[in-house]
Amino acid sequence: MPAPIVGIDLGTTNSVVAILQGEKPDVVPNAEGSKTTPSVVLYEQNRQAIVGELAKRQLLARSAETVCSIKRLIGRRFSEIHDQQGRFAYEIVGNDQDQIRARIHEAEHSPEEISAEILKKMKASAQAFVDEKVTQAVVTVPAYFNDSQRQATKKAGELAGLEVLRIINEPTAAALAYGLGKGSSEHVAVFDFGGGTFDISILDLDEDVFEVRSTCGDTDLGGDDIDRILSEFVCKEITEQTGLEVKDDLAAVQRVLEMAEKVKCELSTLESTTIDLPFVVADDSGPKHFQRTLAREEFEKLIAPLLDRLLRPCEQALSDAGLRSEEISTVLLVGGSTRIPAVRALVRQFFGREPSASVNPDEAVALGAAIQAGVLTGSLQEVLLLDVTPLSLGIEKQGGVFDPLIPRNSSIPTSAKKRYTTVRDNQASVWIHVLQGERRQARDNRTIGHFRLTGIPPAPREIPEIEVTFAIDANGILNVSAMDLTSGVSQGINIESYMQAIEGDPEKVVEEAEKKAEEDRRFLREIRLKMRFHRSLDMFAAFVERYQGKLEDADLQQLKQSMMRLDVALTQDDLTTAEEIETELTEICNRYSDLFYSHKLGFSG
Amino acid sequence: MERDYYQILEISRDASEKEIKRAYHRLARERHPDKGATPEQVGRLQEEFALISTAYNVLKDSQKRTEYDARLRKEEVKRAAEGGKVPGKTAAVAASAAAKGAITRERVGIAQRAYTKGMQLLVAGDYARASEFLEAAVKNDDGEAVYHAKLGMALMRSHQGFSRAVTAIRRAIELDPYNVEHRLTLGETYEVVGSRSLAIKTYQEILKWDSTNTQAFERLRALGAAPGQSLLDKVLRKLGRR
Repeated sequence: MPAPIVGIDLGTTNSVVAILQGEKPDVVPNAEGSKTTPSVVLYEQNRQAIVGELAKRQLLARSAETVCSIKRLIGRRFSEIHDQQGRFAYEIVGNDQDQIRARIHEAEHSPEEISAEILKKMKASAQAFVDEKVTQAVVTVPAYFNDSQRQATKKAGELAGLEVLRIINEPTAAALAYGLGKGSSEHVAVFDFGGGTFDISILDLDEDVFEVRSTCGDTDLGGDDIDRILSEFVCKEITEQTGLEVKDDLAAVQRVLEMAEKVKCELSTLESTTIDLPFVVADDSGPKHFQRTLAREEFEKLIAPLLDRLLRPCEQALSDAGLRSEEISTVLLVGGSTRIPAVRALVRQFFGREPSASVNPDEAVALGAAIQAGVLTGSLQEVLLLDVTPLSLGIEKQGGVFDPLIPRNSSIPTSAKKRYTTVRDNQASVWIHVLQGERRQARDNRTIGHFRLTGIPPAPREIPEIEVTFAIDANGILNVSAMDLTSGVSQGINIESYMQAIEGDPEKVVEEAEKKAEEDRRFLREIRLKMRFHRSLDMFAAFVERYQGKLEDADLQQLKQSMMRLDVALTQDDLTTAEEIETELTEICNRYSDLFYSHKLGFSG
Repeated sequence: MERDYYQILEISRDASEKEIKRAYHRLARERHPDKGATPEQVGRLQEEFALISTAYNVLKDSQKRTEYDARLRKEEVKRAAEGGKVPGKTAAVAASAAAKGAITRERVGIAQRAYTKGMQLLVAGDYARASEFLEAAVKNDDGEAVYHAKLGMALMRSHQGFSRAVTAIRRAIELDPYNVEHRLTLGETYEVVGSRSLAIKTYQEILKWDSTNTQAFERLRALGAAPGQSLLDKVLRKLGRR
């Protein structure tokens, strides 16, 4: 029998591992005997990591050493999240490459490393269960995760010693768990509202083929946010009652937060409950208590603005699928936050039907991952999953416009080709900026990477033809390759990703990070400079092209020559020379200040 | 010759949506990368299946399919005109395609001639007669953006039926959204009608698509809506960024 492949639901608040037993998947309990493991990692002074229930229990006492909700940070940039820093009790810093690090006991941990600790724990549970070494896994991510978030999750698997055979989308996994062996043909909607993310997917079930029609969501909306709203409300009331600020006391904030989570869960079954926080704050006159009853109705009013944010993705997914809500025959609820009665009511109202109770909202995703593992090993030969890419993938066109090559909700794996040519004689390279998102302006979308296509043989402009292939694989991850059509030679493309994860074990990483700090700063500066020169070059080229009739002949020659030199300097990474040439070019162009000024303005817009 | 999307999915040109889906599922069962056993196999299937998905992604969307069909037909007409043969598998299919191709070919030819004549009249300033010919061009070949655009221009310049002009230009933009020329014509039409706000909106739209477009810039300036304040903003932003 081949080594088993496990399915892991790596959640924001809880993680679950499942394994295929024969033709049916089963959830594997952890060492503490529980089917779900809190996604909480506690770092001891000696940098040993404790994961799960044990870590969660110490959250109150050791909040600055305990990492929770790391999924909210994985694959993201520091500049994207720094305004939310207050939400995390542990210290978050950004390094020189804009990567996120959690600083605990003077050591810095990347989100990938922290997630890897959780995956290691899940792996250990599975190994104990099957009494065999586990080396391969299918890991789930929110459907709305972008390329970097997927790459980072894969990386986390590697750091945990797991080969991630496939990244699959959580709602799709849940649909697999629902439809396995049913043999039905229907339209299914999966409403997946978890601890930190929200996804909605619309699928066609065709016996054993599961085809996703559309997906939408919000990777930054979950049960965590509900806890936060509720705790902020309680903190405010405490301050009103006692005149004392809760926010200054980290332990008190943590206690209120824990109470908020408990109250939220209780209000799923009770009409009203008591918030009881003895000794929550104190001043010179002694400790103060806080007590109050909270009715479900009041709670629902508090979270209503947040729940409103669930509706737009639902509408979008439905319209992208080209279906009306009454054509959906089954609505599956996945994720702990779907236990909230107000959320159920919202789903019922939107789809006009009672949501199905046939899957366990906590386990379905992991079970689906295990089923996909079975598909990959060949033990479930009939089942087939056909997923889509959640976000459009494209490139930046001249003028800063985003040109989508693979639109959102395209069935994957798929590819798109784009032909590039040159705008100047003997141009040696072309700069390509790859982005993901739905906005029309390139700068509003997320940069996946940028690269310079080099080694174009010298030829008059517009003669060379280079075909670049953008391929999205079954994991939803992008691969790029290029071919020179005139010579038939293909090129490997190196995307200078912002998200280059650092390899190696945590301790070494810290040492290296310190050693590399200076290097990193230079690296980042160089990338920025390079991007600037690439932009300038394209701008000068467009300027010359448009106004060449109005330029003095000598200047025109000079400009053309300097642009060629700048191009060469850039391919050779000679940034000092590049800067000199850029100044030269600007000087010449300034002689035509009226033209140049308006041109530049237009271009920058 | 490269296989077209119908050939890739192994279906006929008039396949229903259901048939397209069924074909995709059938091919997926055979050739999805999940069915590969070795990494080499998976890699090969991945490439092969990406092509199948690309075809499916176009044909499953009725609007994209219509556009693709039009492009396919035009390519075939072009090939046929160059002395090639309309592709087809069986004799019957080939005959029917050839018949269809012949009609299409003829109509495309009429459209082209009507367009040429219309353009001559347009340049000469005889807008009323130009619009008649361009109308004929559009009726015979609905898929050519420039026919619609010039029809719109002729209608506008001859001051007959602005709403028809706007509709024609809109259709041109729909067919060829990346061509700012059509949008400039639309802006001009709005100006002639006296709808300043719609004209401004259209020109601003152009700048969003093509921020170096001086014509749109000029028109905005003439309308007193040149991005004065925001221009300053841009300068400041630009300086700040440097």
